[in-house]
Amino acid sequence: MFSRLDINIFILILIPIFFSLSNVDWIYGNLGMTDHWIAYNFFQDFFHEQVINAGQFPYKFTRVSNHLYGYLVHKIFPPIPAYYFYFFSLFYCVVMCFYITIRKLFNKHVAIITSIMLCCYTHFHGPLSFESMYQNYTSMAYFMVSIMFAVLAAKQQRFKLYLFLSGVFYASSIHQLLYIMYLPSLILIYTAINHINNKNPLLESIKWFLLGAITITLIFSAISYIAQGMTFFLFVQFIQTLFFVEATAMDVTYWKPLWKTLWDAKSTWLIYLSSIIGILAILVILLKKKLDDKYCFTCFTLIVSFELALLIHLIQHAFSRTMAMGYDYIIYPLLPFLFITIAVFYSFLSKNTQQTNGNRLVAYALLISILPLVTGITNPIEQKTSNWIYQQTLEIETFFDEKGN
Amino acid sequence: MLSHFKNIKRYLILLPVIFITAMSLINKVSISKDQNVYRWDYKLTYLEDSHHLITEVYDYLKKYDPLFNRLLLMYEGGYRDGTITDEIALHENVIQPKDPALPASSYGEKINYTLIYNAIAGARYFSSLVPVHIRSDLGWQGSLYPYYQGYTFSDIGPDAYSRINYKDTIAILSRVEEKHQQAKETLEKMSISNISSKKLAEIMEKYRNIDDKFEIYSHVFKRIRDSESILSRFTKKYISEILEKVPMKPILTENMIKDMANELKFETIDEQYFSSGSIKFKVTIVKAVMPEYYKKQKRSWDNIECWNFSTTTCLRLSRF
Repeated sequence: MFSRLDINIFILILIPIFFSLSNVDWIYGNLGMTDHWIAYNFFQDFFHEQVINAGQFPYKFTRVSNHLYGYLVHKIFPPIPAYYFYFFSLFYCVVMCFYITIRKLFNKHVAIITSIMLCCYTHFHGPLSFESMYQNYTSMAYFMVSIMFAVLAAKQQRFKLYLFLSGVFYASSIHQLLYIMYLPSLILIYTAINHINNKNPLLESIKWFLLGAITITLIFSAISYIAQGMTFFLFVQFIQTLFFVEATAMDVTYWKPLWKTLWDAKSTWLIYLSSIIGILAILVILLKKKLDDKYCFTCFTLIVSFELALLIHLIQHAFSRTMAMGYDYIIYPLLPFLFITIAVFYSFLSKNTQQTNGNRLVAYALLISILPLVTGITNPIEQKTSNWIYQQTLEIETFFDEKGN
Repeated sequence: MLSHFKNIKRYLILLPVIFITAMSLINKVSISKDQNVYRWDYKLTYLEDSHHLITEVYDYLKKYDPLFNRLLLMYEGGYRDGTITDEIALHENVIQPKDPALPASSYGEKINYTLIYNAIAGARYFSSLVPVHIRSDLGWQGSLYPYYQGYTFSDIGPDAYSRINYKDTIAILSRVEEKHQQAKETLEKMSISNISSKKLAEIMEKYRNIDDKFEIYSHVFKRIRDSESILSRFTKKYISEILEKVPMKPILTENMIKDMANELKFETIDEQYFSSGSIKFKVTIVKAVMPEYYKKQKRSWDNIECWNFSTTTCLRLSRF
């Protein structure tokens, strides 16, 4: 029975429950950040026409897919249960879709280990202190679903349905415009995996993907029109983004060179390190001429898709001066590709792992990942940990603060 | 010996897991101190209570202004010249951090009321958002005393008249009972009979100089319009539209301010306490009354159309 249900799913379900048992506050955001409270306005009043004060820059409204989901949840539940449902549904959506994707691409063992890593990675929980009502969270969930359906379409039967759904969720994710940059990577993943598996006709694939994307966009446009009289909400967001890009280019807003952003956006460290390892892996595969091998070809494609997405960020940062690598929340959408790449690395390391060892490794991974993160949750750190550890933590903090300043 | 080494090698498979965990820990400890509420391993007991309160206050305010078109928030606190001015309150049962260098909002679990008020403002933000260049005049988030400017309840801010011109319902937020009275008295001072000629002259002078603030944004708009870059080709038409249709100057004139001040009165409509857990504060709803001014002068935002891209209300922008 368990083999049919996949016991790994239960492990993943348990992880946030551990967090919650340790500290119920972990799902609540910092109050000082107003962006998620702005979204809350729409969770409550999405369909109230806010004519007079909608502003010249109705930027916030254009995250329709985020607001609509929040609105529906808040219509069904009272505020606090709605918040719980909203938060956990998105958390599980990202993690489960990631797990299924990696399981399809590699195997259960790689999938569970890397999913545990994703669950416990601090920046996954929201670089802006769990601003889960912010569109980052919903858009990543939609994008992860889109990747999952793209992989399923390349490996399973009924590819038309899967591609249609992939298009639906991709179009939902681009309400945070950053996800437009990842379309080449998504196409690359599908094309390559499809090439070595189903070999679905490409034109037909594009047709079904586009059909899904256009259908949902038309639905969102109609809903947006009914809600606030704004039909082409994505166009409005696009124009406004261009305006901000222009303003940034004119040094009106804040910008820093890439190397200086290392201290502002520490989530980039993992990205740069993975990118370097990824480039080395690409070179090894190319030099050893291993592209004919199915496994190597899959790894190669997945790493390239990550590098491509990162490259677009870097180009944007360097040439359009938009701080595309300068803030954790702008780098946040890269997480799906980052962890898919980490899954590639792990699959390579664990290539010959036996099932019995595999189970033991899952247990170790859980312990290693969760224990440090839950330490100190129940009480402030100076009460929970020994004085020595506390002093060390302070010293590390001071070190980083000095470096940061 | 060799077999032992092989076992170690097998467990090196866990390297990526250890690596990610290490990165997580580094990320956690390396976030600068003033941001360390981001670290979710500290129990911030007030977060859930705050969430309760913010949602309750949101619903309460909606009763008085369903679309939040006319509502200003008046709350005090925040930072002035890098110093916390007010409304950063300690939880009654809290343990002071051992290290005095530790910030207010982390280990000691201080409750930051300003942040709660700011979140309430955020929850009704959109409805108070106005064109970006006019926002300079109106104030961030439609707050009468924006926290970042460090105003206190005892002082009439230089933009107070234009803010009340836009929005005439005021919600006073404070945990301190006396502060509500003080805020109401300060509002009363805006009436011509209560305001000193010196203060009025000061406000007028500042208002005259407000053109500079508008210039900041109109300058950007104009630079984009005149720029030859590729991106500008897309934005040019849009920017021209804004420059043509939305005024780039403060909308109130000196005479209008005097007319307002002539008959300005404030009525308290309602008062209510909100509490959850250890957090409690009061909201007072006050309405600005100036009937003759309204008759004589349509309020500034009534004169502006097409502030949004709504095709139902703004037919001239039908292509959007």
